Parts: sequence; C-alpha cells; structure tokens
Amino acid sequence: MHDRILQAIFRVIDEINLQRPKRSKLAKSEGTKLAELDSLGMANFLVLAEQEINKEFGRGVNLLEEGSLVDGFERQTIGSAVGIIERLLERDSDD
Amino acid sequence: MTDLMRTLLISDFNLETFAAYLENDPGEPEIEPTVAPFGQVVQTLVDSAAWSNQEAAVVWTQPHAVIGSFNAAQRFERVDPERALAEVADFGQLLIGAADRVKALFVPTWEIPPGEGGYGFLEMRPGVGVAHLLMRMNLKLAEIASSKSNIYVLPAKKWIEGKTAFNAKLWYMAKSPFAPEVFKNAARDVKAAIRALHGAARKLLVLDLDDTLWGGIVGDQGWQNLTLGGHDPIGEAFVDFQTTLKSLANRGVLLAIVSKNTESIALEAIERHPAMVLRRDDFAHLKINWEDKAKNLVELADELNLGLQSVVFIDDNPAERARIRDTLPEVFVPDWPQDKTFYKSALLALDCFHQPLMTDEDARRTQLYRDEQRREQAKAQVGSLDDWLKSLDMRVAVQPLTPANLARATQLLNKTNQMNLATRRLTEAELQQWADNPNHVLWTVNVADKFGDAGLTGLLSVAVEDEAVRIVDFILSCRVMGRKVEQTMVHFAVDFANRREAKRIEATIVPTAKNQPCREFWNNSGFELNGENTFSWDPAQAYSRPESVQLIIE
Repeated sequence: MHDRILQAIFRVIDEINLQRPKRSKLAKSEGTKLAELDSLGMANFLVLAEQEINKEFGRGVNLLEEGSLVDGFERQTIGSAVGIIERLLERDSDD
Repeated sequence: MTDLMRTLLISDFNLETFAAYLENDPGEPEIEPTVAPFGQVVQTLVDSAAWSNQEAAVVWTQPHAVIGSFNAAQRFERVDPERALAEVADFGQLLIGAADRVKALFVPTWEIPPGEGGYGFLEMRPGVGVAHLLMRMNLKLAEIASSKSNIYVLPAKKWIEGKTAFNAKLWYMAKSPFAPEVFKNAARDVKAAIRALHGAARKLLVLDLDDTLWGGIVGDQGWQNLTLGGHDPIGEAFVDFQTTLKSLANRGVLLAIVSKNTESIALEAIERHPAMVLRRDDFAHLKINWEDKAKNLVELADELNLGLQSVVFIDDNPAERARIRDTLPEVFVPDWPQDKTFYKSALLALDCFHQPLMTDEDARRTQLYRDEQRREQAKAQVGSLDDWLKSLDMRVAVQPLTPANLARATQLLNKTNQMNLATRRLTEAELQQWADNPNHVLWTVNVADKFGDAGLTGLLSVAVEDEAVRIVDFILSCRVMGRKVEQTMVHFAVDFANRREAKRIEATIVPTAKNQPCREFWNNSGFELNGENTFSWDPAQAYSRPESVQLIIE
C-alpha cells in the first residue's frame, strides 16, 4: 500500500510542479518538505492528493480532518504524508 | 504582439493557480501574468493604472459576484430577468471600456456548479429557472462583447466538465472555486487563443492514407475492401473522422496527403469509394509515392508556399511520426490514438487551428490553392516566367482601407510571416487608428487572374514624412508571391511618393526568423541598400510596372 500511495503522491507533485517556476520544482522524494508550498499550493496539494487516492483506491480520504495531514503541515514531508494517508486508509478499512 | 505577453488577470476569486499554469506553459508566446487583487473586479476594470503595460487581459468572474439579480435568483428570490440582463449590459460596457487598453480581452462564460440551480425540473422554465437565466445572461454578454472586435468570450463549460471541477474545499481554503484541472484547461485555451492572435495558428493538415483516412491497405486489398462506412463501427469512425476533416477545411484549414502508395491506386480509392467524404478537390495538394515522407512534406509545404511551422502531420504509424518529429521539428506531429474510434475526438482536441476571425477567404482557401495548382500546370506548359505571367491575365486592384475590408486586412497583417516587411501585429482598432493618422496611408491589394480571384492578399502602407515616404507594411500572402505583384506594389508606392514630391522612398525590413523571402525580394528590388536593413529609391525616377500585370486603382 505504501508504494501505491507514494506513486499517487508523486503524480500530485508532477501536477503541482506544473504550477511552479522552473527553478523551484519539488523533488519527488520522501524527504521533500511540504513547507515549500505556499497556502494555495497546500490547498491544491490536499485536493489533488484526495483525488489521486480516490482514483488509486476507489475510496476517499479527508485530509482536512482533525489529526490529519493539515495539522502541522509545515513540518510534514512527502514521506510523512504518505504515512498519514496510509493510516487513514487502514482506519477506514477497519470501520 | 511580442514574444512575451503581459496579461492582466481579473476575478472575484483566487486566480493564482490559473496564473501559474499560464506562466509555466512552455509554448510561445511566454505569458507574464499579473493577478489583480481578487474581489475587486469593477474597481480594476475602471482603474486605468492597473492596466498599464498590459497587452491582454482575462476577466473571469462568477455570475453571482458581478450580477446582483442573479445572486438574488440563486437565493430563490423573484427576479425580473430583464433587470438581470440590464446588469449584464452594464457589466459589458465596463468590459468594452477596458478592452481599449489591451490587444485582447478574454471573458470566460459564467458557469455555476451542477445542482446549484435548485429548481429541479423547472430549471429551464423562463422567468423561474436559474439555468435559463444564466443562459440568457451568457448570450447577452456574448452579444455585447461582439461589438468590440478584441473581446473574446470563451466557452468555459468545457473546462469544468467532470465531478471534480468545482471543489468546495478549495473554495473554503483558498477562495478558488475550481480544481487545478479547470485552470489547466483554461490556460491551454487562452494560450491557444493568444497564439492564434499572434499569427501562429497552423494552416495545413497533412494526412497519411492507409489506416489514417480509411481502414486497411489500399494497395493490398483494393479500394472495394477498405474499412470505410457501412455497418461497421470502425468504418463509421473513419467516415466521422473524414467529416470532421471536411469541417476543418470549411473553416480555412488546408488538407493535403503524404502517403506511401501507388498514386493511381490511391486516387482511384479517393474518387470511387462510395463512402469517401473527402474527394480529390478537398485536398490542396498531395504527394503519393514511395519516397521518404519527410522529403515529401518539405516539398509539399514549399509548393504551397507555406513554412513548416504552419504544418500539422497525422499518421497512424508511430515510426513515421517519429521520423517527422526528428527531421522536421517545426512540424507539429500530435500523438495519435491506436483506437480508430478516437480519431475524431483526437482531431477535435487539437487547438492549433484556432483563428480569431473567419473571412470569405478562409472558406474558399482550398479552392484558392487548387486554382494555384492549375496555374502551376499552365506554367509547366509555357516557356519563360514572363510568358507564363502574361498568360495568366493578372489583375492587381488597389483599394483604400474601408470598414468592409478592415477585418480581412487585420487578419492578413497578423497571419502573414514570409512576405512581411515589419511583421506588425495589431488589432482591428489599432490598425484603423494607425490608418486614421493623416500622415499614414494604407491600401489593400486584391489579386485575380484567369484561374480565379485570390481576394484580398496584400497590404501596403506608408508614412509620409518631411521629405520621404516610408513604406511601413509591405505584405503579400504566400499564395500570390512570385507573380510580380510585389513589383506592382512597389511601382504603386513609388508613383505615390512621386506625386507627393517626396525626395526619397524608403523601406526598412525588420528581420524575423520567417521573413527571409521579403528580404530577398528587397535585395533584388533595385532599391539602394543603406545600412543593414533600409532600402531607398528616388521617386523622381519611375519604377516600372511589370507588363504582365494590369493595375487597377479603386
């Protein structure tokens, strides 16, 4: 599951990079800090990530909910975002 | 217009994502967007300082934000539709005023998220339904905008198809009602429109035959056994594809064939297959032989007097596509679906043919090129160039700029690359304004011969200065180049300068990547070259009119 989420997030990064100047593209690496995104970039990242996860797994996650990715966004990395999404997907499957 | 377009973006919502897509799109021209503070639409429209140095603008609004009556209608208040339309008219007047400050003003149509109407099956009832009111508002907006030639209302509906287009989360987080894909679609369309205004629309679509225009290999199967038409899904798809190609030709795109085949066999299929939509006369030119397609393509473009940057090449064979991409990078070679049922939609998705204007010349374009081919055939039967030109019974009619020919003149100014002295790009209003200056004179040039009427195919403009007449625009469509129309235009300009008692007449070429033919003409014109780019002549000395051309001054 981890790799599928990571690839989905990399597709999001590809799209986000189309919105960024040539010299400030985000690296497709688990260590990339999401703090490099401004507030609009963050909103676009969350929405695109929800869309890609939905496409990949056929079910949605809410990345705005309390305790989710949006909390401490400035400290998150792509790797930690993948972990959060993985936990949300597992929790929802347990329900 | 320049290679960098400064573009002002005005909206009641956050357009930063749209600006980012516009700015980062790698295609030419580059866009340098400036996003006006959102929520200040009217203030920005009337604030001329905000428009300083801007060449284009996009005014993209939500209907409830700029039309108060529509806002009320969305709250199910009873609203007089005429009142809402009056507000649209007021908004339209603001757009018209603002349009004078830029070369192009783009206004996406108003859209609302699906389901926001709320009246259910009464949505389209006049006087009640919000959807009905919105349609009328968009129509009214388009009608008002049409009174100004540089306002382009863009159909935004196609950008927001799909369930994820409107996104409440983005609205609450960033005051952006749309998902990034919507802005990406919008940026692609606006960029295509700017390219078209920039004179970069493609003009020639070159097609392969086997498995591109019909299913199967005509040389192996015979035309009777091709998959085309009939009760067959793939056969129907090819007919639909051909019908769509024909509609492109109707709006001025030239069609041509480059195919590895035996010509007589392929032509028999084109003429005799009952399901063929396209026949020989629908193609401006064809190269059907066993030679390299890249070589054929270069020759074909050359014989049509078109640069390779005007060409699009469609072939089902990925190897042929790769060959053209590698050898002729200026030619646009779109990826092409393997599934034939997607041919039509792939063609419709190409935005490189978009034009800012449709003229009579566009509708007749294939016929005009076919006339040219008959001329070339006649040329092969006649000895010298002069004999051939005399046999054409050439007539060149020079007319002043009028409201009737302004649109076509502007189109020619903005589309012509090769025989173009200054390569100025102006809107209708700017061209008219330039011509209204008492020291400026602009003539249109119409060319006809015994094979047909090429229509308005040339422009000549001059600025009258103290002792000199300066040729500003010297423009000729590639369709009539090399038939001594150029010399006739120079003869006319010199005669004009002589009557004005000017001491010299000058033409300064502004070199571009594409106007080398113009440079070569002036190099051989007999004018004296002063410096690098300026050619001059003493008007007291007559410039001979070619004997083969009859000059008509209207």
